[in-house]
Amino acid sequence: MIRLRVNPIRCDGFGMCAELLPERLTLDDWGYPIVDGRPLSPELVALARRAVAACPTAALRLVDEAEPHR
Amino acid sequence: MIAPAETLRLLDGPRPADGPESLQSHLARLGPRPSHSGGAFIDVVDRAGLRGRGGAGFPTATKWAATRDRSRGNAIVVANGAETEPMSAKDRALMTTRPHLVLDGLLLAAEAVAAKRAVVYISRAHDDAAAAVTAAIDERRAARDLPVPVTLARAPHRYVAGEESAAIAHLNGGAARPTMVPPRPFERGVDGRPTVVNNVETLAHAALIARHGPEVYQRLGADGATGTVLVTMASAVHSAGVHELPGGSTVAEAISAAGGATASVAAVLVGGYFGRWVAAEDAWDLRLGIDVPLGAGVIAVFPHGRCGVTQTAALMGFLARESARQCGPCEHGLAALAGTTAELAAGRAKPRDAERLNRWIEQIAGRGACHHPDGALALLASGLRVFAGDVSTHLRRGRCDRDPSPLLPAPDWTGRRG
Amino acid sequence: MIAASGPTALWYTARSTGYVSLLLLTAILVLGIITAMRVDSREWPRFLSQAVHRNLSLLVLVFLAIHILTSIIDPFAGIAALNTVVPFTGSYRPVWLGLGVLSMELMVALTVTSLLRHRIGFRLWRVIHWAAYAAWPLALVHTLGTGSDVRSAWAFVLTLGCVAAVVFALVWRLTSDRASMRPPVRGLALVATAVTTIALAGFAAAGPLHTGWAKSAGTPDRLLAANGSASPAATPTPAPVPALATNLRDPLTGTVVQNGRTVQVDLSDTSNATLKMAVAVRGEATSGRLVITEGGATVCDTTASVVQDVVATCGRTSVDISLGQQPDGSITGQLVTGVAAQ
Repeated sequence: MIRLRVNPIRCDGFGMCAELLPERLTLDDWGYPIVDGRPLSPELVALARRAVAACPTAALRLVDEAEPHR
Repeated sequence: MIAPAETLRLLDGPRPADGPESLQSHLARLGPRPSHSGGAFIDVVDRAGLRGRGGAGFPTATKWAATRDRSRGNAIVVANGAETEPMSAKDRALMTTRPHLVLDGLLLAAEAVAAKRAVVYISRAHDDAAAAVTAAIDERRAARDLPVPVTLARAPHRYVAGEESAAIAHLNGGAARPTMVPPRPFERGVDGRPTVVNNVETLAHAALIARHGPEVYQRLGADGATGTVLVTMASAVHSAGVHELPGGSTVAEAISAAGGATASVAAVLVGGYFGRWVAAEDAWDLRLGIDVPLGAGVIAVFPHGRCGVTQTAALMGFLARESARQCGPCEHGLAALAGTTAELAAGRAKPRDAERLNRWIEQIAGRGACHHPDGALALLASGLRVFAGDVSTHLRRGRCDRDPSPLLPAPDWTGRRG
Repeated sequence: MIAASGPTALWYTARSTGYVSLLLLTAILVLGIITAMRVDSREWPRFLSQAVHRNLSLLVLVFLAIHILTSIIDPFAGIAALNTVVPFTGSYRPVWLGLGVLSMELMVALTVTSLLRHRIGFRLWRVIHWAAYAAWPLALVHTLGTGSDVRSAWAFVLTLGCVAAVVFALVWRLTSDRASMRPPVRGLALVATAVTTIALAGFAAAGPLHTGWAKSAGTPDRLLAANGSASPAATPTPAPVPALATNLRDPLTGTVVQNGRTVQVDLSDTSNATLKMAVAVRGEATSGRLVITEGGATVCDTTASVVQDVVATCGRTSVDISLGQQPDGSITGQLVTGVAAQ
């Protein structure tokens, strides 16, 4: 199942991911993304790829995993 | 065969005041280090039920097996003696009085995982431990008992420097800060090789298990826990310091071993700053390592006369300062929590600040690359629960009547290089 | 090489696409800074700054391609394809053109590495991306150094606007609160910005904005006379027929007319009424165009040095015209011809 995952060390709080995919990403009080780790439907996957491409630090990525990491 | 009583426990043998136990005394007491073929010792450790003593409590045999599977004879074993938990003294106690137990365990681990290299990781602040271990290594070299080279590495004395991936990052030449954990150490660690990092106490236990066998080791524990544990008893006890207890001992037994409390107890901090507060009445029967995680083995006894809110605020300040500052939620979140908790302690907070604390605790959970923020959240959440009465006094009246001076140390290490 | 008669449509296209590229590059740099600063509003989300930054980066390559291709195809300046990839080669203002080549190559590298970001890894991408701060000033100096329009009002305003936009964005970034840059790095960057801006202004004032820049920048001589002359279609011819006599020492009279930036002096030989001369000089150039006609037929049409006397070579004849202006404004002079040194 395709899910979104963020590398919190690389993430620098630009927040474009949450602008582009609010269905799965919201920002905490300091501008860092809270990732909803639920599987992505096929329509959302395309949008998620845009969000991944937009991340300025390449911190966001798509993974294929049976269980959410956290 | 019944083992002589002088050899069963870590701290059995010469008194601490006599200094580091020499190789000669060590061998006289315990005999030579048994050798095993291949990974046979992993099975022994598995049957003994040995768990890591660095804080995570992970089954040691599982770690070793995973490393052995990936080792092509090139694995690396690291003895983690960094001990950056402020009140903890057990690792230093072991290294300065029983260095050969640690080295035995290290060499047994190296044999078990097919390693060619071993490192002992000690804080830059602990020169006595470094000296004792260095001398012990020299003794071994002279006695030709060093099947793999053992070197020392000195860690910066910052809280997260003792974390497993931080140790590996430091040994790889970088800063001692936690890294993203896929890849796991047994896949790729120091120099890209399969690596196992064990706390020095874990290795010392392994050395005893090798001598006495898993059954004897199990019988040392109580209530399903195996072996003994080292704890550092702190604050309101008569005999603070390092004590060895049967595994599965209760908090009450631990306090009793430390000469009892010096005052009426309000709460106990179990597991050091990575642990949690427990109200006294709930704490007594908690079995260490079973009902409550042992963590770094620090048990601090907090008396009624002191303000737990101010104390928790001071500890949150420390944990916020010790963030590696690599992840936004930890760096900013802990700073915000520490700030608001300090306001609460100073009597300047409003009820909505308390709500914010709870919202932030939820927001920050699980979003760091390592578990440092989660530890801080557990400390804060448990403190707000255990000292709830004082919290509402601070909110309503500004201050409580207890002594606000901090009992547990909250040092400022930010001047040190990390 | 085909001798060109003057600025053509291709040459104008080259110049205009050059200015458009500079504008786009300025916008790209400013948007990059805005993206890094995490600026946003209700109408302008952060991903938009980045998306426009990326789109313009591709667009500028199109304009650059046209700019470069037209420069090569157009015969006027004689820029060869090689000169546009190997910097500092060629005959047309090699230093200043070369800076543009460097800038273009940096831009290509920036774009390619960004398109392949997921392959090369973030750290390498970021190190290379810092080169953006070099690509822009190189493009700017290239514009100032090679731009034929530098002294015209619109180009001046446009260039000034670009510099202002970049300096403003840089200073804003370097003085904002975000802690991602440590103070010593920040301070250094601010100083570097100030020094570079002052240096650019000084360079522009002392060089390109001055007359005579075209020659000192390395514009080939044959092009210098081609601008602003009265009959742009005429081609300088090397060997006119019939030949001009080589032993003349004739007095001249004439008038001077100002035509926009061009000064035109029309002279008559008082000893030989059929011999007429016209000298056209643009601005304060050190050379101009000399046309000599005899009985209506052109005997000489060439570039002349106008530093002191008007000095030129017409086929085998050396020509030296000295001029002076009378109090009533009329021009007198003397024509001296001889055998040209071979």
